This record gives sequence, C-alpha cells and structure tokens, in this order.
Amino acid sequence: MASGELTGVGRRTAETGTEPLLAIEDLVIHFRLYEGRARVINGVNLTIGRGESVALVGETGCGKSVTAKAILGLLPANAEIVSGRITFQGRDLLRLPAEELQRIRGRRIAMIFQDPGTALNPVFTVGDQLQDVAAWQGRPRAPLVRRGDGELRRRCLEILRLVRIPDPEGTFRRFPVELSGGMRQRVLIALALLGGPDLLIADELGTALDVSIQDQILEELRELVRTRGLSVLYITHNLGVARLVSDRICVMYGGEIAEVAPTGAMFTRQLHPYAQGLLAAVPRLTGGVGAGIEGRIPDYLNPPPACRFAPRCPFRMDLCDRQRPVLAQAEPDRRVACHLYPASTR
Amino acid sequence: MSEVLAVPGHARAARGQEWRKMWFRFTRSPLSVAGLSIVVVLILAAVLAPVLAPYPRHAGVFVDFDRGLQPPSARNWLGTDDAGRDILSRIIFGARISLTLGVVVLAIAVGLGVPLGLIAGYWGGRVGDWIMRITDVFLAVPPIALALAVTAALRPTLTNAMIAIAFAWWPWYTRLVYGQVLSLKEQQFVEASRSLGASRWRIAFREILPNAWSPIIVKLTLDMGFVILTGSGLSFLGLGAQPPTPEWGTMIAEGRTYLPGVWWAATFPGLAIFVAVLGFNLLGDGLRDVFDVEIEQWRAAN
Repeated sequence: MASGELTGVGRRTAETGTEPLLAIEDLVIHFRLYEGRARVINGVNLTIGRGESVALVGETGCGKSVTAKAILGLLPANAEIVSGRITFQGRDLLRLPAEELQRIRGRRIAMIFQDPGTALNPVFTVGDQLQDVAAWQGRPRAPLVRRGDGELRRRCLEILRLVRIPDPEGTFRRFPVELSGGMRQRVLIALALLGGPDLLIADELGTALDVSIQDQILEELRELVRTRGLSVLYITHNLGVARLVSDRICVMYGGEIAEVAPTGAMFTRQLHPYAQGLLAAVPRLTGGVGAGIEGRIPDYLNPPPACRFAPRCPFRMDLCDRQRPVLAQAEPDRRVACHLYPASTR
Repeated sequence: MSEVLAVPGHARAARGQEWRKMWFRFTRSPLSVAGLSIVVVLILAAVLAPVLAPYPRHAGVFVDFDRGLQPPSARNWLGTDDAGRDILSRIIFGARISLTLGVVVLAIAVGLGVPLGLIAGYWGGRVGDWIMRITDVFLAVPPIALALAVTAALRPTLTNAMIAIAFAWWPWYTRLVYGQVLSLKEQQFVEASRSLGASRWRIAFREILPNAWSPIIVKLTLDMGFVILTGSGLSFLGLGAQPPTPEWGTMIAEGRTYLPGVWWAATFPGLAIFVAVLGFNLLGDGLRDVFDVEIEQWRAAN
C-alpha cells in the first residue's frame, strides 16, 4: 500500500562501501530574516547506512535541528533550500510532492521529540493519541474521527510494551500530564515506532529528563534499534549521549560538518580543532570544568568568508580566510574539513 | 458507578477528582452559582413550559377582552395584557423562544466562525489574510446595526431575525479561534503530529481545535445573554417575532403603549430579559475563572 518500499539507485559512499539509507549532499539552507539572509546551512554532507546510528553533535545554533527538519520537510516558512539533495531510499526528499512526503513521515522516517511536557496533546489520553495515529498513518484520506477497533488497540498496547511501559493498560487511559517525564518520553518513542519506520530521528532525546532516566531510555532505545535493525540520527549537544548511542559521530560547526569519525576513534583523538575544543570542554569527574572554546558561533548574516571556524581557531592560517576547506578523507574512515590536513585544501 | 471503577491510582478516579476540583472552584463564587441557577431555571422553564404555565393556551392565539389589563393578582400572578392573556404564562413560553434563538444563532456563528478561524490561523498565507480581512469588515459594523439591516432587507420573522444575528455574530468566533490557533500551532505537539504524517486538516481539527474549546465555551455562555438581548431588541422594533408570539421583546412592545398606568405588561417581560442576560453573564464569568485557573496550572506544570 505504501509507496515507500521503492528502493532506487543510491550513491555509494566512501565510509561503508554500500548504498546508504539516507544521503544528504551539499545541502544549503538560508533563512529570510528582517535583517537579511541568514546563511545557516552551508553545504552539509551526511550519510546514514542501514542499521547505523549516527550522532550529529554540535553546540546550540550550529544547525543540527535545521538539518533534521529539512529531512522531514518541516522547515519553517522563511527557510529556503538553496541547493542540495536529500536522497532517501533512492528518492530525493527535497523534490517530492507534499503528499508523498507526508506519507513518508512517520511511516519511513519518524522523529522522536524530546519531552519538555508539550510534545503530546494535553487534551487526549495516551491511548487515544496512539490509536489515532495508528488509524490514519499512511492513509491520507482516513476520516478525521476514528472508530473503536480492538485490533488497533492491541497493536498500540503492544508498542507500549515494546518501549517498556510497566502498565500499558493503565497508561492507555491516562492523560499526558498524569505521566512522569520518563513515561512521556517512552510514549513519544512509541508514537515514532508505530508506523514501522526505517529511519528514526531523535532530537535531543531525553535532554529534559534527569540523567539516570535519560541513560536508561537511551540504553533501551539502543537495544530496540539493534534488534529491529533501524537506522537512527541522534541530534545532540551532549557528547556523553553521542558516545552511548552512536556508531559514528558527525561534528557540526556553523552549519557545516567539521569532522566525521567512528565514535570510538572520535573519542580517542580528534582531527578538527573545533572537535578538539568540543571534547576538551566536557566537564570531567576528576575535577574542573573543561577548557571551552573562546568566542561564539558565527553570525549567519555575515559569516566568515572561508572557514567558518577560523575566527575561533587556535591554528588559524592566512589560507583559512581565503579558501574554504572541504570535507575530505584525511585518514582511513575519517573525514575532516580543515586546512591542517592536505586533503581538505583543494 | 464511579466508585466501582475507582481503583487507587486509577486514571478514571483521577479524572473524576479533576471535575470535582473544578466544581469546587466554581462553587466558591456565589455569583457563579447564582448564574448557573438562573440558567438552570430558564432551561427548566423552557422545557416544562406547558406544565409550569398556569394558562398554557395564553401563549398562542387567545383573546379574553373581559379580563384584559388586569393587575397582578392571585389568579394572574403577573397580571394580564391587553388581550387578557396571562403574562406569567407568556413569559414562561417566551423562555423557549429566547433560548432557541440563542442556541440557533450561536450554533450558526460557531459552525461558520470556528472553521474559518482555524483555517485562517493554521493555513495562514493569502487564504488566511482574505478570511481575516473579511472578518474585520464585519467587526467594524456594530452587530445590532448589521442585524437591523439584514432583517429590514428580509421579511420580519423570527427565523430571519436569527439569520440576521448569526450573520453579524460569526466574525467574533473567527477572531477568537484565529488568536488561539496562532499560539497553539507553535506548540510542540503540533509539530510532532506533522512529523508523524498528519495532514493539515487533521492537525487543525483534531489537534488544535480540541485545545481551543475552553475559551469558545466561555464566550458562548457570555454571548447567550447578548444574543437574547439582541433578538428581543429586534422583536421590540417589530423586525423579529410577530404578535401574538410570546417573545419577550414583542411583549414589551405591546405593553409599552399602556405605560405607565398598566406597568406590569411591559415591566415583567423586561425583567425576564434582564434576569436571563444576567444569568448567562454570571455563569460565563464563573466558567472563565475556572478555566483560567486550569490553563494557568497547566502552564505552570510545564
């Protein structure tokens, strides 16, 4: 019934050697503001393989969430996609008609929202919300009002069990305000899983929760993803989270990908000066706060002319203000965009 | 029944408690309770009119000139009008007309205004601009003047009066809902719903609208009084219900010619309007206080 099963010809990537599930190529997104054009996303390249968990890491305002929203076609009205492609299962999401994209949302690509208490509709019970979504998902002409259906109910209870909600029947009848933050986050995961997506996008998952529950939920999700062979894009500013859940980390800075490396390798050694600073900034149990990086994220209205990190970079050279470094393979399995590595200077 | 289902910690019990809490808050204000009582009495009067009225036949075509213009007495508690009809009986039947008028007018106003406000607010863009500019034009004309113009153009009947008032009333609901939608559509659950593949119709009517009901209900209650007042005003001017319909405004118009000597013929229908409007206003204020607290708590919880 759903047309998402189509698997066309994708591009082969350097990282995996197989066809990726999702490939973002040279994505450029500007925002039209009163003050002018904000050049937020400046040529992002990103791939996610089948069954792979990728973490997109960067500080607030670096364009992580914009990238995620671009995948789902949920950008605000003043955003303009200048160029680029987002290929998913062989189709370019940026050039898909709205109705096709609507069918992909939730069914092929689903987003797990973080829970600040407002991601669930406050006036409906958990059961109603799950069953509603299950009833209309993938059926654009479904009636606005759902009829009672035992099969639907069973499916939704099953999903609640899957995300380890202790009392599915009781939770079904509860309103979101009656649940704890952890339970609400689990319900949001259940909603995302309901359509049986191939790719999950988790935006700052668990950030609003306390750390022990956050870890617990992340572990459970990791397990779930592994057993079901799902691909996940984690959007996070928290390196601890990225380390826990991802196979590969993309460090983003100022609307560009600075460095891509397998998670283990990234934590052992960072190539890009920004990645080095980012990891050094993590507070450590052994005492003291991290070093931090001087300066602020670039002004997107007047971004630095070439390398966007140059103004904050301790290794800044003349070249950095003249020529933009490209994301290129510096070592096996690692790609970086910095003039310290000859491959980036083209 | 709820006792059986009230297992400790059970969601249903919590919900019952929520209602009880709202009721408790509502009953803290004597004025709210007074408003509710008046409205309940009005509804009972309307429903049970044939039973309650001492002379049900006096509500329709009935003439007994021998007993015309009698002052209040044990036989006719509120006196009689020029045709000898019992004023109390006619006021009780009048409640039917006024409530029907209010319900019909507001049903049309909500049925038209709410979807337009939803569409204007959620679709936005050119469609939204057009809807809101047309709404502004309607809002620029006082409702009573607009209703007067419409009834004057149509034949003066009760039905036409309802159409005329509804015609003047829907833009207020469009405005109200529009404002609600603008703030609600920025909520995360709306975006979450979009990310799951919901269509914009579904988001507008199934996600946003259910969250916008409480201000609509409050406004509806407050408006009941004003609509009744407007309807009686039109009837008083001869543009609404026609004699011998026991419409309160019509009754005032008929009794007015005998003022000040036969004071009861115009005064009691006037008091009926006054009490009805007062009742709905007090009830509406009470509901607003209760809902506002709800909303405040909800915001505080998040």
